[in-house]
Amino acid sequence: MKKLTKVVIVDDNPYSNIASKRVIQLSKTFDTIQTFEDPVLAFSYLQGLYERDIYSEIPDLILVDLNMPEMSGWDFIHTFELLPYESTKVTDIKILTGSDDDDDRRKASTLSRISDFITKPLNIEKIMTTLDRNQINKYSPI
Amino acid sequence: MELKRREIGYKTLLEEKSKELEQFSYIVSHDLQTPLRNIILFTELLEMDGEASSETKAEYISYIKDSARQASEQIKMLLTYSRLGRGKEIVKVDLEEVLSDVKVRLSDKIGISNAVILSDSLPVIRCFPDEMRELLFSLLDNAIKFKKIFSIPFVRVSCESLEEYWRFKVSDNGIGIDESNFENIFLIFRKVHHKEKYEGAGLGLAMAKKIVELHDGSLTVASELGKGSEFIFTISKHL
Repeated sequence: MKKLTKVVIVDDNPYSNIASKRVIQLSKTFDTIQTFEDPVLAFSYLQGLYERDIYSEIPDLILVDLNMPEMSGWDFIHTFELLPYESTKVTDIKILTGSDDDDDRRKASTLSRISDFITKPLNIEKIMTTLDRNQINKYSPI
Repeated sequence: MELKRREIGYKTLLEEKSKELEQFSYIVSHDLQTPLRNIILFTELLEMDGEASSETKAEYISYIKDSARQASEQIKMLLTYSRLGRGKEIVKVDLEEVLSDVKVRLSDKIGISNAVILSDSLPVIRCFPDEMRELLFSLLDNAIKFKKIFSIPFVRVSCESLEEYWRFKVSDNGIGIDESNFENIFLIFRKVHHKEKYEGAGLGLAMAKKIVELHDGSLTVASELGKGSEFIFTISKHL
């Protein structure tokens, strides 16, 4: 598998972030792993990258949790969709959540911007499966 | 007629209980899952992370301990919540005394924030004393905690005597609550703010709501973002 450059994880649970980050490190799938506990902060960071076209920093993948205070994962995705598609299309979005709720799954499947629904805890197998299944290469910059 | 009324009473009670039960199972499946999942996560990491240094491993172990403690803390809080009012007696309580107790408990926070708390003279009412203290505590605690940055919290407690019940208002000049969160704030363990900004377990308002309902009353909120919040609750006069 081609090694991707960068993944951004947005999850309000700090432990979850530490562990997800380590698991991804061990999977050797990404060069850079950046985590955010505050979705609002994550969004403004990403927005800055896309608007100023900081290509080297733009992530290939965003993993976003659903149940977060202030800005839920859904809010995050909806807001993200307001950014110009031309600049964000290189980034794939997947949900990474503790919720195994059928309604959440269904909702996710109706949103075209979301390419997968991964339940926590994250492990190497789950990362490999999702990266295999989605043609993430379609989005990733060459 | 009396029978009919009782029937309606039972029906509401049943509906309330079933809502509470639903919330309970939501908590068990969501909130309690979080620390347990983290325990699994770090245990798995310990097993598979061969490259981890001994410091990293010690860190993982401390996360496991913290998560276990967090789960246990949440279970304790859940029990406190579900035991509210159970096996307790309704007695005459002087709310003036309750309020001054609460102010003593909050004296540190009042001191640090320079909060001003003004109150109407409060009546003697029939209620569960400990629960009533907890109710006023969590409303005042919130009023002080969710203050606007660089501003002095100004909290007002008012009381009105109506025919069937007492109506109390606790209003503040704090950050306010977005209308979309008017219902969420009363759910147990639900926090609408990022945890680094405001401390707390997300139990206060859930307990407050249950306490008010134990007194055949209702608890509602009126608020505007950036302007302040007003919590209004009623306590039946026929307890």
